[in-house]
Amino acid sequence: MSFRQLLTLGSTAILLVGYAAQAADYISGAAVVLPVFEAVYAEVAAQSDIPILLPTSIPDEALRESEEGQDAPFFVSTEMADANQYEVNLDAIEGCVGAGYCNFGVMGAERITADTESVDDRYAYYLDPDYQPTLRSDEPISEVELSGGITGIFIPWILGANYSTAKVYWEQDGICYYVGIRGPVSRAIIVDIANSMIENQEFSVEE
Amino acid sequence: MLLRYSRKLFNRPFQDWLLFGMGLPLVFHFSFGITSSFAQEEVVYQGQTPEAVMEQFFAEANEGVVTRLGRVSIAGDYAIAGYIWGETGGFIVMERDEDRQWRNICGGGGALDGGHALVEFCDISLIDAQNLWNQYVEDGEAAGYVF
Repeated sequence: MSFRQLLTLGSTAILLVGYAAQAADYISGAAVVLPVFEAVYAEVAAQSDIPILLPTSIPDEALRESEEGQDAPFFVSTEMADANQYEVNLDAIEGCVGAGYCNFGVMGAERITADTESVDDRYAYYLDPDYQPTLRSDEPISEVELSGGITGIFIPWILGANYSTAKVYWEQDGICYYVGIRGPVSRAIIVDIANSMIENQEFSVEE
Repeated sequence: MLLRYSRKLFNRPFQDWLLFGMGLPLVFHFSFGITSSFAQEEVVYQGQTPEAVMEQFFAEANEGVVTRLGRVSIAGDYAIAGYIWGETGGFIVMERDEDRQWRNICGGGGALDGGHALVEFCDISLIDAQNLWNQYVEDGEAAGYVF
């Protein structure tokens, strides 16, 4: 092998190692899309650049009682999807589209930019003694350990005019994902759904 | 007119441009100097305990001014210390760093009006702010204060 060939081989090897070091796994979206999510998944995917995460199951404790004659345990809808964010509503009845009386949860994501309000700033008012909701969850705001070694933050529910959603927020690939269930639900239920979303991810390797 | 002016500007002799170029570092030097002197003026007290930090703070009081340490509440690596300084008072929020040293991170006059202020003004995380505020309230209630 000549010196020139050796040099070429060496340079190629260095380039390949460099490429491998730069290549990383990126979330490309939900690996499994349950039939109930299919239409909304397609709608959101058409409008948003953000990989959409969905759970493969929702605990019964999170669901509302179905109306008489209703086959599906819940319905989904969206009213917000653009390049940098999306939100999917979990509704108890068809045609609810996130309305307070029939919506029981939400899941979404927002790309984090310099202008994005942090979760800490967003919920600082929870610690304002002048803010006195009718009722608060006994559970505190806390860090939660999620699947894949991800750390999230749990925001408990409060009851003002209506129940808020107890939420879990976490970050992946510069995107803030969240899931919330409305009403007096425990942290464990929200964490279950968040883990289901994290475990149901498809990855792609990009440079 | 603008075009004529700019043409005139760029037609200036080389010596003028050289003088301008030499003057720039002088301008930058003074403007950066002003910025950094502002930052340096921010006093940071450090100590093994929150009380030690407060002692340093009180050492700056003029002669004859009465200073007194109020309640000190600690939660994790954060602390709040209330104080009296002459006829006024306030609170100082401290953080314990990796070297186990406490240092002041923010403060204010009067009483701390809620844990939200710890997030908004002291840049403490929501969870740490919640824990510190809850401790502050608990300690205050134990001392007979009503929140």
